[in-house]
Amino acid sequence: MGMTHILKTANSGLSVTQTSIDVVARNIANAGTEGYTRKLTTQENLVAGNQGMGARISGVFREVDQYVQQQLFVEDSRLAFANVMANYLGQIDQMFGAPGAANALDTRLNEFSQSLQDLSTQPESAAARAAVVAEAEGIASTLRSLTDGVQGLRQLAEDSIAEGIADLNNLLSRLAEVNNQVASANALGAFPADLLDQRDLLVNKIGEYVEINVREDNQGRAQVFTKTGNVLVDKEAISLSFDRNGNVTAGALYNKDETLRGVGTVTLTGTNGYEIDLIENGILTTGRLGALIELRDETLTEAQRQLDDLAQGLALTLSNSEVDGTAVTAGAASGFDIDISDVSPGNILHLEYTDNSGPTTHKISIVGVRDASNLPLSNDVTPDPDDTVIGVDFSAGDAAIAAALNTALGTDITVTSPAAGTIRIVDDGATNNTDINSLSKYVTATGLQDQGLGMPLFIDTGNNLPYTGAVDGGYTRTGFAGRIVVNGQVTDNPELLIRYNSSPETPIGDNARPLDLIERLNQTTVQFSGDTGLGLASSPYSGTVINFAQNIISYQTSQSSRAELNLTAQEAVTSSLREKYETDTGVNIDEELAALIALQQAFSANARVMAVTGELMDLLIQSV
Amino acid sequence: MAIPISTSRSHLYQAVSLSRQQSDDLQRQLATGLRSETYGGLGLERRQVIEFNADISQITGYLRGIDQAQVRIDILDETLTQIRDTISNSRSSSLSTNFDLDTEGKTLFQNESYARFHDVASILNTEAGGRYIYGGRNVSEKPVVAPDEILEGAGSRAGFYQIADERQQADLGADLKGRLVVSQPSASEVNLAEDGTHPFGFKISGLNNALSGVTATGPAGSPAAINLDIGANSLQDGERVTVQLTLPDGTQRDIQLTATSGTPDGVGEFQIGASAGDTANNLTAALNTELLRVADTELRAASQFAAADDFFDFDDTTPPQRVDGPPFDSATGLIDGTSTDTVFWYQGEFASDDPRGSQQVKVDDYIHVEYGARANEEAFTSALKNLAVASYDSYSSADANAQDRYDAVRSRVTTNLSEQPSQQHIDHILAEVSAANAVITTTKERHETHNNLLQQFVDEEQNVDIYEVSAKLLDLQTRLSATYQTMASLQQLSLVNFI
Repeated sequence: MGMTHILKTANSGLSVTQTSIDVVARNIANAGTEGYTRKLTTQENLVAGNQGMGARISGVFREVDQYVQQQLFVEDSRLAFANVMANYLGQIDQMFGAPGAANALDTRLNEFSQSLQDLSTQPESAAARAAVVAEAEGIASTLRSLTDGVQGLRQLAEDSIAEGIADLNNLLSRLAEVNNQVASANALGAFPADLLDQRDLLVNKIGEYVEINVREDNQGRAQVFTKTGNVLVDKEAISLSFDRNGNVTAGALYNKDETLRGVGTVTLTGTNGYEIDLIENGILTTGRLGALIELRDETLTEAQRQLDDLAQGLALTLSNSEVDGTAVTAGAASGFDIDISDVSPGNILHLEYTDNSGPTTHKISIVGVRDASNLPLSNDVTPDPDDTVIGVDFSAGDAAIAAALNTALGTDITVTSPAAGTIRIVDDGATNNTDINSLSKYVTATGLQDQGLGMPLFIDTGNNLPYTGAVDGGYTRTGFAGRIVVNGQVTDNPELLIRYNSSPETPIGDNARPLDLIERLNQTTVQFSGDTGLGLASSPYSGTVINFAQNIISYQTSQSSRAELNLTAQEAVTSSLREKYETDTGVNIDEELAALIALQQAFSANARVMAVTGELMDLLIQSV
Repeated sequence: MAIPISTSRSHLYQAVSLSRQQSDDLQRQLATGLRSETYGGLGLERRQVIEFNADISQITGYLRGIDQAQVRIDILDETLTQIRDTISNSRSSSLSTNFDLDTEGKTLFQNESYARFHDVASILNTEAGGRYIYGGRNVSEKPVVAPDEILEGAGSRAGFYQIADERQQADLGADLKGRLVVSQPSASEVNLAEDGTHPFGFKISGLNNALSGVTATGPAGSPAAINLDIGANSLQDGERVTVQLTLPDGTQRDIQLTATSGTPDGVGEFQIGASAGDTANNLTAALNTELLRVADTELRAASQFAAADDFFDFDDTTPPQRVDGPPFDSATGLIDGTSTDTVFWYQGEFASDDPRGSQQVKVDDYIHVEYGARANEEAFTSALKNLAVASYDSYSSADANAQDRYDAVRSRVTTNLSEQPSQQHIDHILAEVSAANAVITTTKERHETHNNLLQQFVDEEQNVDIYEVSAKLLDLQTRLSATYQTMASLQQLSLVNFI
């Protein structure tokens, strides 16, 4: 063993220590860098032949717990979901106003009811009449602005999905690049620890948009799949596209059928060209995108349905009345006559008959449509879960209406038109297979006078007509909360709130109409639709309009506080996981400095060896 | 909270930022006094807060209605009491037989009645907060026109006095016998007939003959007539025939004619003559005298009440009635008054429903309190009619029939102003109004108690207790500054500071 060998060995020690100090320096420098993991060097004995030749760096490694990392991807994705949800629902909560504040929906309804109460004690006061009109407009404008708010949030969700998809595409293609760099570094035997950090950071970011599964292949690539197993990135990235709708309205809804779809959908185009609709297939259910889609298509759509149902309930409760038919006998058959001249589209004839073979009682709702081509109607058109819906075009003429009903109701019930504008429904007389129990109509007062105490105080600004609850041909319940306004005739002449008859004209001191309107608002029970999330389809919510509004506020705002709770819980889970991950993989300055001291010692020891070797060599040379 | 000494400071940062958020929220609570800016932040009690706020709003509405209605009911109660007292005083005055006439030919009672008529008519125009309370649903117009106009007319429009005057002429007829004609179809016969088919004057409603040998027929025919045939002139002293007459106000008045063999010296006596013809002549003369006398007293009194019915009882389909003339003394019918020739004293609402229901206040979900009144209700109209009639006539001390006529009017007023079965009386209205007031008062108390409870709950849930929040804030600040100090110390504990 020669002196130079000692020098070389010491030199290798110096270079190993320098490399290690370099790594420590990088660790300290990156202590605060996002996604940076602590790098460690390993060194080994350099052996040539059978002889130790000093030390060398055998690798630069990361300390990553893959299991914790995978979990973190999932929890980060959930956190992103919870974050978006809490953010959007928090805005809904804000929209409903501060408790008891003047702009809160319930305050507006309460004030409206109170203004009618005031009017009922002083119908002769022009100020009291004007106050009712103003309060009615207050509700209408609150409903309209809530609709704007909800649709604004849906538009925001739509836009955010579009941005999210663009970001995601960018992340996916960058990940594909990094993947390939990692693979080639590995192939060259380099240590791609920093590339792996970058790779993991990208994967983590992707996970925030959509829940993913990650697998590392033998060349160090991160293979990213959706949770249903569709490949997003391998050697190449697939591409996602989104057909954003720039004008999201209450009527613009998601539908599998592209011709009926009013909002955008996310399409995945694979590297081999196949396409798949990710929303239709339920793939985007967590992460940022999952939250945005759930908000756009479910949460916010449901909120809009509630507002629309409230607007509908408000308009119809004040304008509609249930009117009984008149009992009639025709030979041995008995049943009812009903005047259909005032039946508007969406108004309902309620028929109840008994099939004596059971006996079973049948409830039939005969619903007027605008356009016969939209027939037949589904049973869901009415909230009542027990009825059978028959759609009829009431503009078709008496004979045609009678014929249509005759066909629909079967041979044991006979429908005729005994006089213009009248429909007669009778049983089968002596055969006695059926008995007609009742026939009534739920009709809208379309005029402001001479049609009873009810009045079309709220109308649809879409067609500028009293709202009748039409189920087809536009200006239906969908989006009505955004179109509801106070009847302009009442705004122009608030005396119509009192004068319900024109001849003889109702005296101005008569409070019958205000009293009736209060009772309609506060005491008339209405069955609301089963698709509002309040109540079930099998037992829809029924209550007064005011109760329904209270339920909506409570439901919507509690969703927000639930989302807030979810977020807090998710933050706790994610942050403890992240803390564990960061403690395991992150840089601890103390550790690094301790290592630095050790390396310093090693360096000076090696240097000392070299110095001693040098002195020895000098001594040797001098003694020669 | 465990503060980790690790590379990760996220937990610590989060803890600090959470404390800061809490501190901000507490400061906001302190500033606004509200527990939360949104319903979401109210927690599980939010539903109740929403509902209770609605209840409070509704109760506030009810209480406002109650307050307004209560003022009106109080005024109604007070004015009804005034009318009742006026009526009762009038009734007492009407019992006075005093017939001292002033220069206008009026008694004290008449002058009082005139003033009381003005009182009642003015009371019926009472306003409460800009609305007339005696017009039913018509609250914006005075329900009753000016009292002077009602009595004396205005311009071309006739008032009650003129209507009564015309009616009096029609009832008395040109010969002042109350539209009856006495004739002798044959020497021994006396015939009494109405002069036509019309609503005026006496109506012969019965005949009760106790004169021996006299054949009495009728009343029969239309116009009604009776016939007395003296026959064999076998009348006995003291025998009577009674003719029953119906007066225009529906009261009955009998005319009794008594046969006497001596010289007639009492009212309605006639001498049995030597022949049937003589007796018939005497009977005729006595009948004429009686007719003139009764017409000038009872009929004239009754005529005024009939005129009052014609003038005061009308509705939106049947206008006031007046005698179709001139000439009035031979009139044969009533015609509709028009707004150009007759004063329509009542301008309020006409409706067939219960007047109380014409004003309602909703004081609770299922309680309506009714407190309407219409000046044309029977109790008010009756008071007005009787006071108007009492003030109408004027008398002369030279007129032998004057006091009888006055007494006929007076006694009718006494009867009419007394509580009569099957007729509405002012006390009935008062009772209904007090019942309404009782309901309102108890409902109001209930609402106020309920409202306080609700308000207390809402205050607790919706609003914050300033002291509690301040204490929390102080506590939080202490903890926050402790955390900052700990963090600072932790930072000092890095190896960086020791090498």
